[in-house]
Amino acid sequence: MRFSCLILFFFLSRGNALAHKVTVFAWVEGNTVLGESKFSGGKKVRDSEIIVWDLNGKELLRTRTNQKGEFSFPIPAKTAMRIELIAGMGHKAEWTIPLEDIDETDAARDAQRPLPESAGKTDPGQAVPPAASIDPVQLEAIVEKAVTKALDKKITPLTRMVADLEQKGPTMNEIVGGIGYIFGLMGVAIYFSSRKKKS
Amino acid sequence: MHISEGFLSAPVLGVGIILAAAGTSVGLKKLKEDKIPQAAILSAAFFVASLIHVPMGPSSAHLILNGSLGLMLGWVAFPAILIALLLQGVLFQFGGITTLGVNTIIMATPAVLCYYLFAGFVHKPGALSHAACFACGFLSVFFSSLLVGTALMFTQESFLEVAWAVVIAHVPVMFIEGLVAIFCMGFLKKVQPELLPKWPAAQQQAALDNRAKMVEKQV
Repeated sequence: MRFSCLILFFFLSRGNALAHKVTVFAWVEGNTVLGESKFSGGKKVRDSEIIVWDLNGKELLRTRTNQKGEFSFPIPAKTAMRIELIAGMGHKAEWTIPLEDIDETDAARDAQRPLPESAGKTDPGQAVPPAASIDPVQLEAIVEKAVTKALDKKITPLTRMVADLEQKGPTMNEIVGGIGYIFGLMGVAIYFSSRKKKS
Repeated sequence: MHISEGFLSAPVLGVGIILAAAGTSVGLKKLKEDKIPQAAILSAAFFVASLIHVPMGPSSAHLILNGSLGLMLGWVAFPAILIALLLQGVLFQFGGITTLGVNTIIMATPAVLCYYLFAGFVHKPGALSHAACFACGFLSVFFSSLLVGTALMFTQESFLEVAWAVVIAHVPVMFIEGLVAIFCMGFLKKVQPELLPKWPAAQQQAALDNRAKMVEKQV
């Protein structure tokens, strides 16, 4: 009876958080880095320190998570980054953003930069300029921006899904597997102690 | 309670590993063959207990059960907790491999301490035994919190600050652990008292008491 209560308690409380594993997950969107952090079990890590390092161990910047456990900062430098979350009481997690991710968005940023000027040029003109007069470079920039925007829109939910998957708590398989390991070790211990007895 | 990887400096990790190895070897020496299954079951219970969370305010903590485990196992708590922590580290990513030694010390030392403090009282009648069990569950978590503070003291934060934060976060867990210990020990006392520590001594005592009663009756 008490055992079943415990089991019930265990399942009921799985939705809540616990404070012994934290995860941080970050991705690049445009020229900012977005991220979220959680204690395993789903509770957000509120108001905790985020430190961003480059891979050589140089500190790039510090920020804090907000009330929803999210954080964001502009890309500080064109290097790979290691994002470290300090959640207090001995809890820490990190996430690395490789250089390729930043390279890509750097290209996007380059593409975005000329755009405001071109927009400034085209908009005030009352008549829409004939298509032939559009500079191919500008056209490329416009298309690239539009595509990036659309892709971002489509991909963001997926990124969040990946983030959730990344931050999943232990599954039933792992729990049962662990218990199995313990009993296996018990068998080994009994085997050795029985051999000792015989000899 | 589990300290993550990369938090502690190398000397602290080293000391943790050495102490944990020493405790484990003492535990293995004291592990008699007939106690092996009991140790394994309690190790499994400890392994799963960390998944039971007690939500509380902004943070929340999980059951540890190191008090009950220590009360029943004594020094054998060291190998039992070490194995459970290793599996938690590998399978759940709680704690970590390098911090295994430190985490073992944090959870197993209070267990052994509680064994020496309270094992003598378990077979005492009624309220005294309940009080001892509650104190055992309660204090083991309390001592563990202090040890977390000690381990972190050497890295960045001040002892009082961390220890206070950890103790506060674990207050509900302390009460729950105390109650769990009362129920577990009460149940075992009724069903299988030989699983509890110091059973032969208690039995002798009971026999003596009985004889004394008989003598009184005859007189």
